Amino acid sequence: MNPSGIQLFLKQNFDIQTVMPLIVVAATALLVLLLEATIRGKSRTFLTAVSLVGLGVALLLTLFNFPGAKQSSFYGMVRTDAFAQFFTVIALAAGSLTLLLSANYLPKIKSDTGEFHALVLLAVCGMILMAIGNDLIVLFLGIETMSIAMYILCGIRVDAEKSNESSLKYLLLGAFASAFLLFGIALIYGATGTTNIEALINSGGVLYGISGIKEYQWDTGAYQFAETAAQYFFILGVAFVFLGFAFKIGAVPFHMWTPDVYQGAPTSVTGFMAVGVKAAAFAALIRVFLGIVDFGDLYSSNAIAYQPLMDLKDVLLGVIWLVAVLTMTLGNLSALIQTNLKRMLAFSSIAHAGYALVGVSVALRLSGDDRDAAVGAVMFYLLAYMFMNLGAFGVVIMMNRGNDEGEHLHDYNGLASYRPLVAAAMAVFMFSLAGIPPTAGFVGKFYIFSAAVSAGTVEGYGLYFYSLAIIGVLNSIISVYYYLYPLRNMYFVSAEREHKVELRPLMSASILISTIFVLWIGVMPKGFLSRALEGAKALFFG
Amino acid sequence: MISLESYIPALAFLAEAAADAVKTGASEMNFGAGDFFFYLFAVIAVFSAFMVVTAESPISSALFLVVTFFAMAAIYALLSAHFLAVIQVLVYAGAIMVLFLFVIMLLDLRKEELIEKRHWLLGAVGFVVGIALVVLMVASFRLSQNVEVAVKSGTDQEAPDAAKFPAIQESADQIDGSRIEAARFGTTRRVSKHLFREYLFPFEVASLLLLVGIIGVVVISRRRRRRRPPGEVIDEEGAS
Amino acid sequence: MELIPTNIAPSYWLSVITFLPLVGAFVLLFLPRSEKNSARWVALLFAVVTFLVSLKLWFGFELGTPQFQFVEQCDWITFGKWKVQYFLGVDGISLLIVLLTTFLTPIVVLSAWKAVQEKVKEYMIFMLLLETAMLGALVSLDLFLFYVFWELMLIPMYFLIGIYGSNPERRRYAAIKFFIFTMVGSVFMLIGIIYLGAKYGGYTFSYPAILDAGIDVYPQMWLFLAFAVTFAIKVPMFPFHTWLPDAHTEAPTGGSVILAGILLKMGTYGFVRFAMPLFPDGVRFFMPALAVLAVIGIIYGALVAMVQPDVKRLVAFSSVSHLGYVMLGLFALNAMGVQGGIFQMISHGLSTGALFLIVGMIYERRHTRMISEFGGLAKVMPVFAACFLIVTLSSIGLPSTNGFVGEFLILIGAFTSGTNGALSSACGPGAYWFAIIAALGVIFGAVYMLWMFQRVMYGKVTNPKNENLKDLSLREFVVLAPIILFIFIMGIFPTPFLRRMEASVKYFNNHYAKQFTDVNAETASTDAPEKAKQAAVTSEKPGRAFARAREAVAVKKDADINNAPSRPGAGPALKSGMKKRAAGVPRLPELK
Repeated sequence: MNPSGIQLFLKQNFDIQTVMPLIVVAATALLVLLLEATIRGKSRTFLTAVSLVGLGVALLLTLFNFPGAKQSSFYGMVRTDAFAQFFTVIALAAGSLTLLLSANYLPKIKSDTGEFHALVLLAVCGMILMAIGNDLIVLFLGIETMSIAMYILCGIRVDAEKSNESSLKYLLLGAFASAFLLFGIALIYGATGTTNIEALINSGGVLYGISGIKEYQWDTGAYQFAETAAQYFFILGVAFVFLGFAFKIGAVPFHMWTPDVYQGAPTSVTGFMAVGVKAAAFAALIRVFLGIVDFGDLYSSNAIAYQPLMDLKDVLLGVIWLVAVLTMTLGNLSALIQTNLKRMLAFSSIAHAGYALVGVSVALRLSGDDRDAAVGAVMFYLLAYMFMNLGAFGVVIMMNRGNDEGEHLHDYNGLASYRPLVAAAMAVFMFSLAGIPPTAGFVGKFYIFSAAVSAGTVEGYGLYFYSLAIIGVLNSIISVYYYLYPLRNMYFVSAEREHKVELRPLMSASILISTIFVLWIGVMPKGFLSRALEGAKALFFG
Repeated sequence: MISLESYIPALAFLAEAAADAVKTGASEMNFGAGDFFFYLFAVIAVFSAFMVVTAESPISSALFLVVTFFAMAAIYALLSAHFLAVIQVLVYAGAIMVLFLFVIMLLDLRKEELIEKRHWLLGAVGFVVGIALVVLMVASFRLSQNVEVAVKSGTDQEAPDAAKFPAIQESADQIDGSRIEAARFGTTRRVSKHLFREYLFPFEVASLLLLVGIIGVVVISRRRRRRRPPGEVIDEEGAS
Repeated sequence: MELIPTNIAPSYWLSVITFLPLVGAFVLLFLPRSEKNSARWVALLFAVVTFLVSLKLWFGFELGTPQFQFVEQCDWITFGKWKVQYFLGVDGISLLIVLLTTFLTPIVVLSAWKAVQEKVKEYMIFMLLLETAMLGALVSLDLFLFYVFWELMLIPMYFLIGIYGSNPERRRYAAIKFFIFTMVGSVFMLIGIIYLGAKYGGYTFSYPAILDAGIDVYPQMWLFLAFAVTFAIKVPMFPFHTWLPDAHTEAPTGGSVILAGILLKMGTYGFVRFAMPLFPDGVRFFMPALAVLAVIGIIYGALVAMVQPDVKRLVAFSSVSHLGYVMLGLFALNAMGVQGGIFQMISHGLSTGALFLIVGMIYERRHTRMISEFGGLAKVMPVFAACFLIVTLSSIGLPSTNGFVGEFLILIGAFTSGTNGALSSACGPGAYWFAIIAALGVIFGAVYMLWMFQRVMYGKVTNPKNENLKDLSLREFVVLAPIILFIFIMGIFPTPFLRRMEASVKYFNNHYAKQFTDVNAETASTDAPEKAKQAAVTSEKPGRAFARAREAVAVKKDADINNAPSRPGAGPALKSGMKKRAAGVPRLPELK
């Protein structure tokens, strides 16, 4: 086979195969909308089934028919490497589990519409875009597609003031963050002349805008390229982009929206937000920031004299160090005093973003194998976090009896005596979230902290990284206290009255799947870890 | 019906001004016409954006937003982004603003407040629209054959026939290729070329984004209908 | 000599023993809740089978070698450079504790036959899960694996205390306190483990590899501290002991037996297996503090036990005191002290376990544990009284019971070490006072135990409720009999037990020898110089184990370091560290 020029051109730039999972999911969303309109009045379980089939097909395509090895397509707009594959799988799995959880939950909160399914699928599309996007524009579009779907999903509850409030709050703050992100992207474009991350690296670290940032030279009277100004533009752009991402992952000090929005949103959406949005945002964050750091390195290696951009890495490290520490600590301390389980999980999700940021800060500072290990650890952590957190939210949904009932901690009193399996599953999730072996959460945390500690031994940044690891484990202790609280209520307190907890098949299936994965990843993490590492290795450009 | 062509003269003028700016920048002049227009529109944009936020009446906010959009469009044109400038005017200043105004009218606002502001408001609107008209007028006065050709060459042909269009020949002699390049940069042809080649994927993805928005509107509006008793809906329709 | 035999014959004994209880727990999971009796029988069956299989370790154990035996080694998790192994093995130190665990578990299961009537299935599941976790922690030779099992121990124990505890309010508090206390220590150990793996283990967590790596003096300090705090909380040593009385008082009988019998030994085992051999310089630096704390624990535990009105609390505080002995013995760092310490671990497990069983039996009958509620039980329950007496005497350390052997060895070991050995080397002359003060604890021990025994068993039957108490049932007798049997066997024929640990203890003592060479004549005995010579000749493995060889090398290098200050790659810190080593005794500032 010797493809002709045009074929090669099409293959390189219009290879539809690279975005096949995306297309399948989007098509399923449209199909669901059509079906919703045509088969009115019937059970929505059918729609769930259709959506799940769509996601399943996409999952199979992603797992077994992914273009693989560093292939970029559509003029470098998307890059379907193992990294993208990993996060696409997370997005698809999170979407599937969310739909499973919602199947019996939506009628309870009187929001059983086909749009819900379509919006979840479209949000998954956004997440996939964030996973495969190799260009700031695609990433931005992905973020917006996902976010807008999430804004609406948050407010999908017909009768709940809280749900509407949550939706509006999320929308306003999210739009603000998006504006910052866009401004940051524009600044980076202005400074470098490209929005493409791969092109950024391939430029060899040259900092010329497409039209250039020019300043007037008083001595010669000419306009010349303003090297220093361009650097500051670039740094400012990086700062704004980080701000936008920090909002999406709910990092302190941009976390204020999280508890209210998480509490107000329908529980299955909350779970979806906590794992899906976060994972996708981390995917984009890692890809963009590793690119930026690499660009900074290249630039520094070209420079003859001192340039402000040389400090980028250290500044980023300092900033992310601080953000990670604050995120972990504030998240955990706030979770400590919650009495509403959903709100507690919201704060705990802030803390978990902090743990993942520990890995990111290591990845940004290191290079080579150590960077791969750190990125891989973050990826693995997000995968583990997806199962344990969605599982925990699944139990909260199962306990829900319309409105907000069943979310308070004392609603769990004595659950173990009348629903032992549900309680056992919840125990597994709580131990996993607290990072106690042999669960997925422990392995995830272990590799995050080992990345930090080994960064401390390898580099001359011992103080930064050891302190991160120590603050991290101290936070684990704090978190143990509040994760044990639901367990205490379930097992040690006798029930005043038994709540009706229905074991519906779809919901039970999703909790069962989560439990199995949490334990499987905890005991036999080898395969998952190697996939994560493969993904991390694929991130290298050039 | 406003058509694309009706904006072309003004935009072409602005493009010319931008090209002037490049030229004067290269020469000894420090503060060229391009700079002047840029600062003018930038100040207008920022000021009216500020007013959008601070204005008490929503209508005046909306109208200040129109001004901002116009000023932005002018800046785009200064940057040789003609197509974008047109789209900015058409979509934002046109379609979206109409929607905004509709929404504001549909909302239950107290009339006294609006009346109170009307006089001053009208003055401001008149002022802004006046400026916009002045710009258009000046532009149409400056309309000369070479502008038309420049636009044509940018939109229709890659390399204009020099013999057919002496003005281009002349300008090509006077200025270097980069100026022509700059003038062509934001033409419809160029934009569409980029849009359907390099940016095909984001372009298609944007449709997904719009779809999400549409579904969102359906979800939210449907809820509104469900929540309110039927009588109220009729009232609302009558009011509009 | 290599700690791990080079050609490992495939052996699955340890895996079978470790995971058999887990299989049992899994089987129980599928039993219906109402089938209480079958749950008990299944649990007992698995516990007994585990014990029987574990006898293979006793009989198949090769004497006279410090090598790990029944070794299983394969990769478990690989992640980039990081490699975690599934790495099991027993040596003389862990063998006896493994056997103690498998021995006590069936007894505990049997003891809960009547006491636990609700949630029987769950109780048995937690018990078997706990056994797996404990066995796993004891046989792990990979630090990661060890940590996994170490943390896994918390989960079932947490539930056992929280669900089956006596007082509904206090048991929740006790369970959470237990969990948090243990967790606080262990996360620092986790950081330490990662650091060891990254820096000294070549990104593996293999215990023998790290043992041979030779950890720098300065990191040893904080690493030892991290490990020591973890284990000291578990032991518990004096200032960290506050969770123990709560946990013991609230735990059900079976939980208390396991807690006192085995879980606490995990702390001392951690010291003797990990904290001390890995960080000899750390041991030396912190030894004065730890020895003082151990002695304080002995006296404090005894004194507080004396005034307890609650029998169970009394026994709990006696544990604090007894484990103080164990720690003192381990810190003596001579053959007698360490062997005595390990022996005392086992005998304390048996006698205190039995005491908790006995307290549980009284509690089942009267639903109170207050000493003042009893009196004159000996007349009502003669068989019970006899058993109780034997166990009490064993706990006091009467000759011909197991308690005597352990305490005697510890005190002798601590005294010799204090006059001319590690203790005096680290703490200065006069360290033998530790042993003398500790001996006072023996007297206190006799006082509180016998006093309690007298108040409960003798005198007149003052409380009418006590008049019709039943004597031991057959099941209860079957529960106590094996323990009493072993109390005497270990007391009269301690040699088979001591011989099994002898080689390993000697090996590890030689391991520390370098740190205490100035005065320690005893530990660096017989075969150490030969080994050192061998190592010096081949110099293939310049490991920490070959202290003298290393020292010789260091002495040789000393001249080089002094003469050539700009040796490439040797920073000032490294150089000064080498100088310290070269000087023979790394005299560090003493903590007093």
